[in-house]
Parts: sequence; C-alpha cells; structure tokens
Amino acid sequence: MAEELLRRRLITVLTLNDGVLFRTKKFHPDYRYTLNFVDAWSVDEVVALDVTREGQGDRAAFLEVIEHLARECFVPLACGGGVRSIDDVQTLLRAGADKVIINTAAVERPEFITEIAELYGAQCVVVSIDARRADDGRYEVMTRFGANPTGLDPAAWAARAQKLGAGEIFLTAIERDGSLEGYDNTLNRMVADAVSIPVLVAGGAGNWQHFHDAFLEGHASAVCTTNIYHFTETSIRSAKRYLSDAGILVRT
Amino acid sequence: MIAIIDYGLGNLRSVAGAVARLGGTPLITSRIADLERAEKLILPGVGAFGDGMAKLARLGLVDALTRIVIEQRRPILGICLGAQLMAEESDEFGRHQGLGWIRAHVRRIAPRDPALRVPHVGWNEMRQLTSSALFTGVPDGALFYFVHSYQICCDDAAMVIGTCEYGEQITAVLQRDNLYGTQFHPEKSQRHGLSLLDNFLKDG
Amino acid sequence: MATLTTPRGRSIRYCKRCIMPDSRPRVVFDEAGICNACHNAVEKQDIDWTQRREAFLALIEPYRSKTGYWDCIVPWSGGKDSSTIAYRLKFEFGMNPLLVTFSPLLPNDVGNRNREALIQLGFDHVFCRPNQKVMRHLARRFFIERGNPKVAWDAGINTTPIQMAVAKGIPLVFYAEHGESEYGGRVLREESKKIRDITEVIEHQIGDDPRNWLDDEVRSGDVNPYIYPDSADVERVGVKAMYFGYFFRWSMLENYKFICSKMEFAVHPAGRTPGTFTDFDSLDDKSDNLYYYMQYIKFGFGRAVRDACRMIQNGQMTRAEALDLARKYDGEFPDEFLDEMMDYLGMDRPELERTIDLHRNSEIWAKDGGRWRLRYPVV
Repeated sequence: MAEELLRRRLITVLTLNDGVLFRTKKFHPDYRYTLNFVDAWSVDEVVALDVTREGQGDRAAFLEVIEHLARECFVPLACGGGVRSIDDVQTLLRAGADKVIINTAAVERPEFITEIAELYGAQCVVVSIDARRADDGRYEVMTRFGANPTGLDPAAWAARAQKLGAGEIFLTAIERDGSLEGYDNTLNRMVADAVSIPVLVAGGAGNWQHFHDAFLEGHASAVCTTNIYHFTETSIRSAKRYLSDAGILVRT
Repeated sequence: MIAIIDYGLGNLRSVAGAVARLGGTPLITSRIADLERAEKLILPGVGAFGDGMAKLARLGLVDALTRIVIEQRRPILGICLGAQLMAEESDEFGRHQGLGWIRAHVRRIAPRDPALRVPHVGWNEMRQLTSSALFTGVPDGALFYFVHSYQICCDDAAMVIGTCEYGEQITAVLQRDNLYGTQFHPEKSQRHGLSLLDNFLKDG
Repeated sequence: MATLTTPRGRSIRYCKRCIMPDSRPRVVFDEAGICNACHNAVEKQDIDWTQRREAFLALIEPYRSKTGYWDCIVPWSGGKDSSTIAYRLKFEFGMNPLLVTFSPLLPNDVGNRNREALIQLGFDHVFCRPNQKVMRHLARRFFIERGNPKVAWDAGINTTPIQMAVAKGIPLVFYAEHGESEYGGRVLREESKKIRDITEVIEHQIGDDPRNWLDDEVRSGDVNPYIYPDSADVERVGVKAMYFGYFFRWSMLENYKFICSKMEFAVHPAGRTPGTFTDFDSLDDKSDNLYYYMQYIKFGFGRAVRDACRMIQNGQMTRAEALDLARKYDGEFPDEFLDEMMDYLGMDRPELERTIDLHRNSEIWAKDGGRWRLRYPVV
C-alpha cells in the first residue's frame, strides 16, 4: 500500500444542553462541565452537538456557542442535533458550521441526505448513526437520542447513506457513551468496511490505547471523544505522542 | 478592503473571520460595485461545481469577475470549490463549464488504493514545488485541511505550485499571475493556513 | 485558550432541606426541591441497621484470618472516619486490618499526630508516598487545567490500597462512605452503595485514565501509583472493596465522637478550620484548604456548606443554623498554609489568583466593580 500521508484525526465532541457543555452518559445529559479549556489550537476538528431535549431550552443558546467556536477555532466545525430541515441546515451553516450532522431525520427521510448534498456538497453532510448492541451480538440503528429502535443494520444503513450522498459517517456505540472502557471496534470495523467514505467513531474513549485500537482494529478515519479532560493541549499532545510512537500518523 | 464573494456557497463567516484576525478589512458581498473597489478578492466555496457556476451566473458575477480579475488583474484567491471554478470545465454531476480563467479541468479523485476513502478529508501535507509569495513562513510539507471529492487537473504544469499525495498527486495550490487557488481551506488550517492567507493579503 | 460556556445566567436552586446548591455536579433535585443526599438520609432512617450489621458479620466471617495473616485493608488517612473503621474492625470485630495510607500532598502536624496515636494502639501500617517531582507537577498541572490540585491524589487513594490488596493477597478492603449517595450525586447502580465501583470513581472523581497523563515531564514509569491493577489480578485475588458506611449508620459527627473516646484525637489548633465551622474534618493535608476553596469557586459552595449539609442530614443541625454558619464562613479565603501551597505548586500569588479566576464558573459568578460575587448566594 502506498504510504498514506493523510493524518488520522482526533476530534473533540462537545455535547451542549441549552448552550452549556454537558457530559452525557448513554445519551442523557449527565452533568454540566464548568468553565472549560477546549484548546482551540491543538484540536484537529470540532463536533458540536445540541442534545437539548424538546422543550428544555432553545436553539439560540446552541447557535451562540457555534458562532463563538467558528470565531475562535480555525479548524473545521461540524454541527448537529435535531437537524430536520434544509432551514435547520442553513441556520447552522450561517452560524459558522462547515459540516452538518444529521441522524434521526436521515433515517426517517433518507432523501434528506441527497437534498443537502445537492445543495451544499457531500462534504457538508455527515450522517450520524447510533448503534445499540443486542445480547446476541447483533447491532441495531437507534434514533431519537438512542431510544427508538429502527430494525436497521448499521453497516447496511451506512452504505445506503453513502449512496445517497453522505460525505462522512459519525458512528456511536450507545452503551459505551460516557464510559471509559474503549470503543466498540467490532461495530466500528463492520461499518467502516461497508463504506468508502471516512468513518468517525465515538463512544467509550478512555485512554490513548483506545484511540490506537479504534484506528487499527476499528478502521476508523477519526476518533472522537467527549471527555473534557481529553480536550486540553497537554492531553491532546500526550495522545498524539502515544499514537505517533505506535506508528499512527497524526497531526502534530 | 478584501471582498469575500458571496454567491450563496461556502463558509463566508470563517473566511471573513480569518481575514479580520489577520488585520484585514473583510466585506462579504455579491455587489459588483463592492467587488470593483476591492483591493483583493477571495472566492470561497463548498459544494457542487455546476451549482456554483449557476449561482454566480444568476448574480451576474461571471462577466464582472472576469473583467476585474482577467482584464484588471485584481489579485484573487479561490478556496476549494472557488479554486475549482476557475477551471474550464468539470465533470461533477455532468459536464459543466467553469469560469475558464485557467487551462484546467476538474475531475473526481480516484485513488488507486481502495483503502483510501473519498472524499479526501483531513489534514494532509502540502509539498511546495516552487517558491511563492504565498509560502513565506510556511514549511514545506506543512499540514492543511482538505475536504473534497474533486481535484483540479492543470494542463499547464507550471501553474501547480503546491501538491499533496493521496493515492495520486493532487493539486493543492495553483498560481498564475494574479490568480491563486488552494484546494485546501486555509481558514480551517490554523497556523499555516493563516500564514498563507496572510501572505495573500500582504503580497498576493 | 477559548472559554466555552456562554455566560448565560441561570438560577441556582438550593435544597429546601439542606443547603446544597444544584450546581453541585451530579446532584439530583426532585420536584419538591429536595436533593438526593437528603433523600438518602431519610432512607437511612428506615434501614434495618440490625440486619445490615448481620450482613456485615456474615460478610467478614469467611475472610477472618485463621493463620493470623492480615484479613482486611483499610485505606486510612488517620482522620476520624477511617480511624473509626480501623478501630472497630480490630477491636470490636476482631479482624486483623492492614492500614494503607496514600500520602497527603502536604502532610501536616494534626494528621501526623492522629495517625501516630492510632498506630500506638497497635496497628500495622503501610505509608505510601509517591514520587514528589511527579506529584507536584501533576498537582500544578491539574490545578491549572481542572481547578483541582488533588486529581492525582484521588487516583492514588483509589489505587494504592487495591494494589496492596493484590500484592499482599488481602481481598477485603473497607472504604468509608459512598460519596455519591451520601452527599448527592449520580449513583450508577444500587450495588455501588455497598461495593466500590472503580468505574464510577474514575468517571466521577478522577475524570480520566491516569495513563493519559503522560506529558513532557511525566513518563510511563512515573504513573505506577495511579494505575488501577489489572482486572485479571483483581479477580484472581478476589478483591472486594466495600463501604463500611453501608453496614453502619454513617455520621461524621458520631465518628468524631467515637474516635475521641478511644484516643487522643487532635483537632484544628485554631479551634476552627478555615472555610467552615468544624474543627475535626479533613485535617491531614495542607492542600485541602485550597482544594475546598476551588470547590467553592467552581460550584459555589465551600466547606461550611458541605459540613452543614451533612449535619442537617444527620439531624444535628437546623437549616436556619446552617444558613447562618454558611454565610459566615463559606468561601473564606484559605490563608492558612498558603505560602507552602504556592511553593508546592510553583506559583506566586498573582499566578495563583489568575488560576483561581480561570475556574470561576461564569454561571454562578459575576464581577461587580472589580469584586467577584455569587450571582445566587445561599438562601
């Protein structure tokens, strides 16, 4: 294989509840993080997700954060959470997002993926897939904050999303969200091998070895973490040194 | 004043923010009068080629820009789709005509290695083929953020001043006289991206 | 560095029964405005403590040493709580505990004396003091990054006793109380009130895996004291880390009275610990003053509120009395040991104050004419 120079990415994921940074556990806002230090200069890319439940806050708070991030961080910004219409997409792009992440809306109306791709380009559309693992080891795509079963197989759905125009897949293992046990690389690999677009994996980042495993075993193009302590310059540098030493090409 | 051409595509706010951060005066606009009095122009863009050209045409910008850029030789920096639009034509979603300012075609990225995913997304090294005002202070091999499925194939090799490797050699930076184009997003490439943008604002 | 939370004011509620604010991480208030620590305190009244005691006796019996070898470990600071546990295990229940201490950042006289006094009653003790270059670096680093100089220490107290349990083949470990249920937090599972869940501890207290802490100064050989033993080893030895407070009704005041009756227990020489009204709690580490002060900066409540809530929940104080004490003492600036602390952290006063301000939660703090004030003081 030709030497690949494209770096693997470390992506910080901010989950915002009514505009405030929250930690989530199995998709429920668990508790708020206080004033924090997302280091604007060390991250490769930022994902900001609005996890505000219906009626629990307003969109304006989230958009304020997006605008702030777009101003301060000169790295790509992908935003999502409750995106259901082209209007929602436009609002996020105008606020400063480079890419828009869609989840439930894509499952419920797959043409939505194509609509966005045709208007803004495939590179603008990230389809987010939340997968739950059943006792028998099979996986199922869940929507609506991981509460609604769809009967869909994540790999098949990812492949279809690619055909419809998705530029990237953002894949989360629901049970692992907020845990520190490591990514579900069986799931990751299954989905990554089913598509030829980049797959960003999330759910379970605890230590740098987990990142390493997600890249090598999970075939991820990018690893995502919501753990606030992974966002500091020292932590990011520490993680990247670990990965570099292990032979994984990352941006330093 | 640096005019950032608003034709409905592209993250204008980020580009404007970067220009402002570097001490320039950005103006997001689609008014021909603004473009005519601008010191320099930036043509950003994210999206599809055909759609981009249609939007430029609808705003009556194709002729105006050609006049300002080709006849009056106003410095212009095309970013991503903006750079691609300067070409003669593209085969994205059918054959489309571009601005025709450079002898180049836009073709889909097709890396030989199936392990290489498309779109080409992430940080990749930009190899400098020659010195340029754009590269002052930017080390050879510096990382920039790419996110694209199509590439600019230049008929005139001398125009290509920066490349990157992704299963094949891809045009990363092009320059011809007052025309500059980057396939990557300097406004999303932090330190080196800002340096390059700064170089365009000061010496482009 | 980019600040992330938008300074949207939000109103802070205080528990109607105790005075804990809802800015405390993971605390849960019900619709009546009562916090889950208060609920836990009420539930404690209904617990059949006789049954719990029976359960305790049944638990320890199979572990009771027949050879004279140590049969349990007590993670021990020398304070009223861990000393009470140690004393009762040995002298009331006839067990043979090994006391394991993970050194405070800056041990002080009171702590040293109280440890010595209990040891003199006849206990085996292992005192672990980690690499101080590393400890100081991490204390400084996390004070700056997280507003908490004791993150590594937190990892140490959770890890070292378990490492000792594995190394010495002593499976039974008795921690004190389950913080999340006692003081208001997220209880991951009911089981975790009885058996210490290291995952819960990492997620809530330590925050991330100590193996991630490697940086320019900390190498992979430097974090051994903080790494939890391999799960295979933990299972092989059959380590069981329990909460003593699950089996015996927990009250810090009663523990204090108990240990005083058994030995010469030193308290704060000034008669009152800075930032609170008590003189008998958390006295062994000079860094605690700053540590609890940072809790005040980040969440809006300090030692006084913390102590008062516990006493309200144990029926030892009224809410009115608590309010009075909180208003008087909460958030008192930690002048005691400050010079030593700054020296330990390698900071001068201006840097210390800058770092403190970095962690002021803008949701609860406002600056008025150059002075900081809580947006929602305790009511």
